[in-house]
Parts: sequence; structure tokens; C-alpha cells
Amino acid sequence: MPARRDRWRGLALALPLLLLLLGVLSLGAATLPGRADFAFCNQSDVSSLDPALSTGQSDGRIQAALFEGLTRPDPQDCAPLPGVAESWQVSSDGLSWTFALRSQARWSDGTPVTAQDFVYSLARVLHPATAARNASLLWCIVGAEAFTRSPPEPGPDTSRLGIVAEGPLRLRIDLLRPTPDLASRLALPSFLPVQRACLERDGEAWVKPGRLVGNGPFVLVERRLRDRLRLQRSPTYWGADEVALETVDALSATGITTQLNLYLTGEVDWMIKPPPGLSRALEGRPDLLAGRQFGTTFLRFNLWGGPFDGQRRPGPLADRRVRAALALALDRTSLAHDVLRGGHEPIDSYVPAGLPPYVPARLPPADPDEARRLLAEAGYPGGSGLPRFSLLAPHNESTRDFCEAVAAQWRAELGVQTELVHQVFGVYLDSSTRGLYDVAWGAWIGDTLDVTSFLECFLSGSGNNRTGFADAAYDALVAAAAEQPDPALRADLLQRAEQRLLDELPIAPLVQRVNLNLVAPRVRGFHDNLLDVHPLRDLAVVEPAR
Amino acid sequence: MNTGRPSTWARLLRRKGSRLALLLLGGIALLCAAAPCLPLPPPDAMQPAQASQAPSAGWRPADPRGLAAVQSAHPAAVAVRRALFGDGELAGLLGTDGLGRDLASRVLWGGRVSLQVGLLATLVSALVGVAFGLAAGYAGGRVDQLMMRCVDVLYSVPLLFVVILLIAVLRDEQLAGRMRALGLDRLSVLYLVIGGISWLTMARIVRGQVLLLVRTPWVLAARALGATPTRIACRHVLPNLWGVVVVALTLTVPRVMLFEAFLSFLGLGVEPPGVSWGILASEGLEQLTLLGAAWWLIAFPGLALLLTLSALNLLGDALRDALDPRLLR
Amino acid sequence: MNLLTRLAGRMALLVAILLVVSSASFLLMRAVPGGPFDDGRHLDPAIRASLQRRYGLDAPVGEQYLRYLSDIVLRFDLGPSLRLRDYSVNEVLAESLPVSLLLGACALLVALGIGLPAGALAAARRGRWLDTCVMGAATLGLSLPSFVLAGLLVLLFAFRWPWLPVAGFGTPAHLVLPAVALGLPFAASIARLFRTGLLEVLGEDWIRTARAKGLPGWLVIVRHASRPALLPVVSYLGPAVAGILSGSLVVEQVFAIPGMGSHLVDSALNADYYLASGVVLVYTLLVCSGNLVVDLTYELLDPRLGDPA
Repeated sequence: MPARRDRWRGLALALPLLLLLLGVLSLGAATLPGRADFAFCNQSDVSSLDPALSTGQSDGRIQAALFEGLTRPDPQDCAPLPGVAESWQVSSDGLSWTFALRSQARWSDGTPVTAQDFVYSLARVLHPATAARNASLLWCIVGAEAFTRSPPEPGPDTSRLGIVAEGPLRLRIDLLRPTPDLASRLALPSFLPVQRACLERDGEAWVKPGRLVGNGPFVLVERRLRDRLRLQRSPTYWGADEVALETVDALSATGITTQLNLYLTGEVDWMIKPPPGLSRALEGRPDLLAGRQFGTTFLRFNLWGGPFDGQRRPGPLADRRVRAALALALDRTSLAHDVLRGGHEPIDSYVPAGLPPYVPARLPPADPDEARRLLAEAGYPGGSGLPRFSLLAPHNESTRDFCEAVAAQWRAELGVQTELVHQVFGVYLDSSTRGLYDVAWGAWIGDTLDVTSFLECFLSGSGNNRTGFADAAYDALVAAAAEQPDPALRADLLQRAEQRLLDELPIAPLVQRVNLNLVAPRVRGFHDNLLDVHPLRDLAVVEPAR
Repeated sequence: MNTGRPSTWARLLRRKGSRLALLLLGGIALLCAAAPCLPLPPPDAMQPAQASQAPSAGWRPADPRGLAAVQSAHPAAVAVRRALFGDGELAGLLGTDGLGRDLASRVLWGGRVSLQVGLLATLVSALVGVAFGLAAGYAGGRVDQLMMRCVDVLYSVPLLFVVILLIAVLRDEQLAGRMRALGLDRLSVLYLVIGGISWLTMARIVRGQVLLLVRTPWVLAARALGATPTRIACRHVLPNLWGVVVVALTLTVPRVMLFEAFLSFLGLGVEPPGVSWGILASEGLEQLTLLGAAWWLIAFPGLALLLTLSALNLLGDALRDALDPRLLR
Repeated sequence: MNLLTRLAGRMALLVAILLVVSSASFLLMRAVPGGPFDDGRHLDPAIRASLQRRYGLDAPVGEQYLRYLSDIVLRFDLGPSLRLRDYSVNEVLAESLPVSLLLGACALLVALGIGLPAGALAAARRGRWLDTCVMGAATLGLSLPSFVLAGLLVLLFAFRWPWLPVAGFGTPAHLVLPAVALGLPFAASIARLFRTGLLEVLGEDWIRTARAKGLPGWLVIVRHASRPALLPVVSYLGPAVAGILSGSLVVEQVFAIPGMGSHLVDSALNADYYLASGVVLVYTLLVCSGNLVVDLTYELLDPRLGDPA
């Protein structure tokens, strides 16, 4: 008996030790393979390496490194540069684009990239079973919208799509209406090509390191969730001589303070969006690059007075004067400089300036006295009689501070009371889509340098509208602009539409968004641009990392 | 009432540690309760011009708008403040945060919320635990076995994780709206949820004590004389439970407050613009960078938590030792 | 014999608990209307419908639940991750579980490595200032939240004296601060329990005999007094393991450690149903197994406990 007892005892004590041993062994598997040439904080884990499933900028940066589309963005001004396509031509009516592909373009397994690859990839993005988010950006192509909306089984017919391979190196795309920025759209990460053979061979596991076949400047070496992703220069890329970086690490740390500390200790060379709360300490640093972004932060007003489920319940916000009062009472300069800081600037239009020939419409400057007058005229002098508005915002530090400042200003200037409602982004989006708010924080950032995407948000049927604004004149102006091939006339029509928007004020534009990047001095080729696109292909470092 | 109880207090107060703990707790509770009366800036008044200042003391005239906001909620307290300190305020005593909000004020107002959550959630757990333990211990036999088996099962489930999911779900606007219709705001839901997972130890302790008490001569006599169970429970059992319950309460409050701080840190507890020590700690942590860490933003909320929780732990231990230890085995 | 039947009983209980927990977490997640596909622009209804279909989220909840359960039981398949589209939940767990285990094991080592000697020291020097110091420090350690402690550690050992990395994972140096932040509060409890246990034992007759034989004090403690004094420490290890696992949620976030804790918080906030349920399930399994191991160890260590009647 005692002997067996002792054996049991020994076993029981050995179990925890075994666990510890296992732990130590797994530590061996976790050792770092040494620092890469260039490392950056990618803000979060990539949700998918599949370009068709691209959701945000974190995905897009890596996808743009692993794959290359017909065009690629210029690092200085985001204009479309030749990618796989050496050149392209547009027909005179703007409805037919022809791309000439370069013969040296290769996949990472050595096979050439052909026009057929693009037909396959673009059809895949538009296919209903893929459920790609950005598929609607290509609905300007003939047959594309019907293609995406058709039921997934038995599978729509690709021959109905206006994407045709006229030869192994010639691709033609037919459009329903003139789309001047098609070349820019095709540079977006969603529309990068994938290799059919690779997908058919590996199925769902095709995105794993070692199996992924891409045609971009880098290949995937290693991927560890919530830790990092390692890329290496691809020898088969047609422009391999132009790629200066040998290895790149994309770190997935999400905590903003953690990212900043990693940058300050030299573990990464580039940090995106440094914390706004620390902008005071970061101001004046030579490695802080602050540039205007092609995006606006604004407030949405719920014109229906309640949920968008059929019945309008006009409340105070249905009165244009109340909305104008709320918009004019806010000191946009203080919000931009004191609350948000970090290079934010107040904006007096909805579409940001800087895209000739378009000249944005103008909003009158902040005028609290006029605001109070309008509010009194509408029947609510000094804010009396107004219910408590709910101010909806997604849950993050900077929007929280911003909304608190807005609420404080309204309280002080107009006597208007608000209740702040913060929700997780998905829930916030759902609430604003369904109209479960009175006033909501909002932002729009252009994917490409085209004004239309901003104005299309507030068309009557647009899913991005979410205010209940429906104006026939506005819709007509935007539709007319879409059909207009001449750039100057187009710009004029769009400006009139924007003026209409700013007269009716379903939104109150406040601040132009800013791109903030912390970039180590050893990095070259990093340029500030409106879309905040910094292809890894064009970056270089001058000295080895510490 | 059980005899011999009065000496407990004497025994308790004789220990140096417990006197210090009581003093500390009393002081903190008093300061937090008196927050509206103190000459400090309001906790949510943003002064971007004075952001991230290190601690320094300065007397300056109070901002009337901020004062008006506090006055509408606590008119009597602000009247006292006006009478005692006039219209000035002590600004920047413990420094300011990134938006220029006064830290001393936020620590005190946050203390109100943290202490409130701690006490109320503990109360919820006490109510549930005592009721459960009393029922189990009194019923005895099979029912007792079953109930304790339930407690065992729940004890081994890491309820923390399920609570995280529960709170993430309850933050949904529609569900919150329905709760509000029932009279439960977000903070109340928090008390209920936190209290709902902390009652297990209390139930166990109470049940153990009840099992002992049920066999004492006077309860057996009362039973023999035909007293109803409720009468026995109220007259004989409950009064003798309070010692055990008080000790368990004093030791549950720090756990509950830690849990609230934990949840607020993850973004699931008290929500801005409300303040609590957990939120202050998480904000302070966010400011900890190589650029010149605003150490006061984490030091003072951390100190507040440290002092309160240590005092509670010390007190709980002292209480446990002061009470007859045999009863607690 | 009795031990085996009790073991079987505990295993059955474990399965029941896992069932309850996985069901609860699955149903809770489905109650969130936000859905896992909202993180950017408005989704065209046709596209959203396709996404729902692709992940089987358009079926009624009951059917989804049954399919979920049968996948787990029959194929050990915890489902796909709705956010990390390239990974299934099993793959995510396979990558992150070893990391969490490693962190937890190191934290436990820290807790025992600091707690046991501290408790022994306090017991040996009972009543003197060292005892008061150690016990005072222990009370403080119990009262500090792990994230505040983490912040202080970072302030001191990564900023003030840059000896250790501030965050990340990959070398042993990366694990020092997180393990200390996680394990120190438990070291405090262990020190107190061990001290109490030792004080009880040290008063007994057979200890006096050993001392009278001329054995030095520390040897007496280590070889003779430890075994029985360890019992309360061992029974505390169960809740300690649970506490370490829950504390790891915060520590993993602060130090950017790629463990399960960070996945739990993110998936709960982003309505990634399957991943959240899967992580909760694994945590429950770990805690229950930890309790089981601890109970077994306790019984086998205590010579006074025979086979239970």
C-alpha cells in the first residue's frame, strides 16, 4: 500500500511539472527569427489575406504587397500608375477601357499573369457567393450589378459580364456609364488578382504561408496571429529591382499605447495614427507627419425623428432652422485645434478641398448669436422646449472626447441637453442605419480621389445616407453629373448638389480628418498623400536597424 | 442576541492594524461622500489649455457653468461649499489629464461610483448568498445536498468569461432600452451582474454556520415547542449569522471592487462620461509612454484603489480573528 | 476504487458544465443584433445575405445551435472565425493556447517562487519586523489590480531603467514583466496561507522533537513542516489557476501577448460568435481540469486523509 501511495503521490506532483515543461518547450517554438529590415504596426490583425474579402486599411496594406492589380497608386499623389497593365486606353464615349498587360508579369510560382486571371478574379469579386464588401464599386461595369444580386446557386454566367480577355495580354472592360476614376478603383486592394490554380488546389487553406501564390512585390513567409506577419521580397516580381526592402514585418498589436511604445523603443519604424490624447507631447516632433486626409468628420441629424421603419415622426430636428442652429453654434476651430488636435483642421464644406477642378460649396462660419436667433425663431428660445437629444458615437477614445466637447458646447451656447450614447462600432452602425438616434457622429473617407463617392452617400436610397434625407433635386443633380463626361461641367453639377446639401443641412460638417504617421528618420520614400496610401514597394531604409 | 458579542469590538479595536484600517476607510469614504462640498473643479470640465499638468496647487475662481451643473444634482452640498469656501476652487492638486480635467476631482467622484458599486453589488451577493445558505442549511438532508452541489458546479465554472459576454450583450441599445423601461439603468445592471457571481462563497459560509446553529439546544427546543420555521429563522438563526456575514462582506467588497475596475479597464464596466477608479486606471495606463509618462494619472487612482482595498482586507482579517474562530471552521 | 468512481463522477460533471457554458455563451452572442459583418461601410443587403448564407447564419437559431453542438461533439470542430476569415477557431486556439499556458505557468512559478519563501521567512521570524513587512507587502499585493501593477512595472523596468522590453512576445525577456504582473497578487495570498500553515505546524510536538535533535531551523521548515503546511496552499491553487487565467485577459492586452485572453475580449466586442464561445469553452476546460488536478494532489499529499468513506 505505501509503495503504491508514493507512486500516486509522485505522479500527482509530476503532473504540474509536466505542464510547465510543455510550456517551456513551446517557448522554444516561439523564438523571434530576428528583426526585419522594416517593421511597422499594422493597427490590428489582418482579417483576411484574400483580396476579395478586404475590409480595411490593415488588410489592404498587406494585400497590396502580396498582389498587384492592373494599376497601382502613386506614392506621392495617388494617381494610378501602371501595374500589371503597361498602358490603357479609354474610348471617346468613356464606356470602354482597354488594358495592355505587360509580358514580364509573373506569379510567385513562375507562371505568367494573363488577362484571363483578371477576368476570373474580378468575376470572383462580383460573385454573390464570395460576398465581397466592395463589389458595389464595380457595378459601373456592364452586367455587374445583376451578377452580384443573382442567387448563388446554380451560379451566374460570367459571359454576361462586361469584362473580356481579348488575348492573353489584352483586357477590355465595358461600362454602363462613364467612370473617370476606374483606373484608381482598379488599384484598390479588393480588385487585386488571385491565381485560379492556387485556389482550386488548396481551397480555404490557400492563404496560408507556403501555399499563397501572388504576383506582388512580396511573398508571405510567416504569419502569427496577434503577433506579426513577415513578408519577403519576391524574386519573380517584374519590378523586383525597384523594391528596396528585403524583409518586412507587420505587427498586429492593437493597443495604441503599446504601438507607440514599440515605435519609441525602435522595434518598429512606422506607426499609424498615434494616439490623439498624446498629440500635445508629439507636436513638433520631426518624425510626426501630419497631412490632410480625403475625409470629413460630421454630425448626422435624424430627420425622421425616430426609427426609419415607415412612419415619419417629425420632431424638432425636422425643422431646418433647428439643424442650422445646432450646426452654427459649434466652434469648429476649437474642436479641431483643442479637442482633436494633432493637425486636424476645421472644414467649411462637406467635400474636402484639394481636387481641381472641383471647388467645394461653402458653409457659413460659426455664429452662436445667429444660432440662438434661429433656435428662438423655430420656437425654442434658449433651448427650452427641446427634448434631450441622444448623441450616438462609436466607442473609442477620440470620438468620445469629441462628442463630449460637442455636447458641452451645445449646453453652453444654446442650452441644449444631450445624452451621449457610445456603442461598439458594429452596433453603432446598426443603430444609425435603423434610425435609433437623434444626432450621430459620422465620417466619410474617400476610397479614391473622386468627389462623387462623398455626394452619393446622401442620395435618397443610399445605404450610407442614414439620415432620412430625400431630396429629388439633389438626386437629379448627382445623377446628371454621373452621365456627364466633361470634367468641368461635371464638377459644376456636383458643386450645385453639394450646395443643396449644405442648405438643407441633414449633416453638419465639422472637421477635416488628418493623416498622422510617425515615421522613423531612416525610412525613405514615405510621402504624405490625401488617401494615406504608402505602398511597401516604394519604401526604403538607409541604415540597418538597431 | 448571542452573549459575549460586545467583546468582539474591543478585541477588534485592540489591534493596531484594524484601527489604521478603520481610520483609512472612514477617511476615504468621507472624502468621496463629501465630494460635492469640496472646492474642486467638476470632474468632467475639460480645459484643453491646462492638459497634462503635473500636480501643483493653485486657487482660482470657479467656473460658474461647471458649478451650476453640480448644483443641479446636489443643491444642498453646493450651498455648504459656497458657505465654507466661497466661489473659489483648488485646481490641479493632483494634476490634470490629457483633456485638462482635474484629477483630484475625478478620483473623488470616481470613488463615489466605485464604492457605490462595491457596496451595492456586495449587498446583492449577500442577499442572495444568505437566502440560499439559510435555506440549504435549514432544510438539510437531500435538499441541502442538491443545493450545495449546484453551488459546487457554479463555483467551478469561470463565470468571469460568461459575464464578459453577458455585459457585451447587454450594452446593445435595444436591450438596454428594455432594461431602462424596467427601471434598470446600466449601473444597476452592473451591480446585479457582479453581485450575481459573487454570492457563492457567502452561501457556503452561511450554510456551514446554519448547520451548526440548527443543532444548538435552543433551536431544538424551539422546534420541540412547535415554533414555525420562519420564527426560528428570524429569532434564533439570523441574529447569530451576522458575525460571519459581516466578515464575508468585508472580504467580498474588495473582490467586487477589483472586478469592477477590471471590467472598466476592458471597457465593459462603468462608461464615460461616468468616472470610476477602474476607468481612471485604464486612462492612466494609456498615458504611460516613453514620451514623458504622466505618472500621476496612474499613481493616484492606483493609490486610491490600493489604500481602500488594503484597508478592507485588513479589516476583514481582523474581524475574522476577533470573532470566535471556532464558529468559522 | 472509490477514487476512480469519484473521478468518473467529476468527468461527467465536467462534460455537463462544458455543455452549459458553451450553450450559454453561444446563445448570448446571438442576442447581439450588431452582427459580425458590420465594421465599415454600409453593406448592400444582397451582399449581407450572401455573407449570412456562407456562414450558415441565416438558419433559425435553434438549428444553428444544434449544428454547432454536433460539430463540437462529433468532429471537435469549433467553427470558423467570423472576423479572422483565414482561420478556423481550432486554428486560432492552437496558436494562442500554448502562449496562454506558458504565461500562466510562468505566473504560477512566480507566485510560488516568491510566495513560499516569503511565507516561510515570515513564519520563521514571527512577530518581528520582517514578519510585519512581509505580511504588509502581501496585503498590498492582494489589493492592487493586475493592470495597475503592470503599469507600474512598465514604468520602472521598461522606461526608468530600460532593462526589459515594453511589450511583445518571442524571447524569455518578453515574459518577465507579464509573468510578474500576473503572479504577484497570488504570491501575496500564497505567502499568507503558507505562513499560517507553518505557524500551526511549528507549534506541534514532533517539530519540537526535531529541533531538540539539533536540526537547524531552516531544515526543519523545509523538510518537515512544509508537507502539512502546504495543504492550504495546494487547495488555494485551484482558485489561483482560475484567477491567473482571468487576470491574463488584461495582462495580455497591456503587453501585447498573443494568447487567448486578447482573443476573448475582441471576439466578445465584435460579435465573433464561434471564437468567443470556443475560447470560453477552453477556459472552462482549463479551470475545471486545474481544479481536478489540485483536488487529486491535495488528497494524495495529505497523509491524514485515507480513502474517503
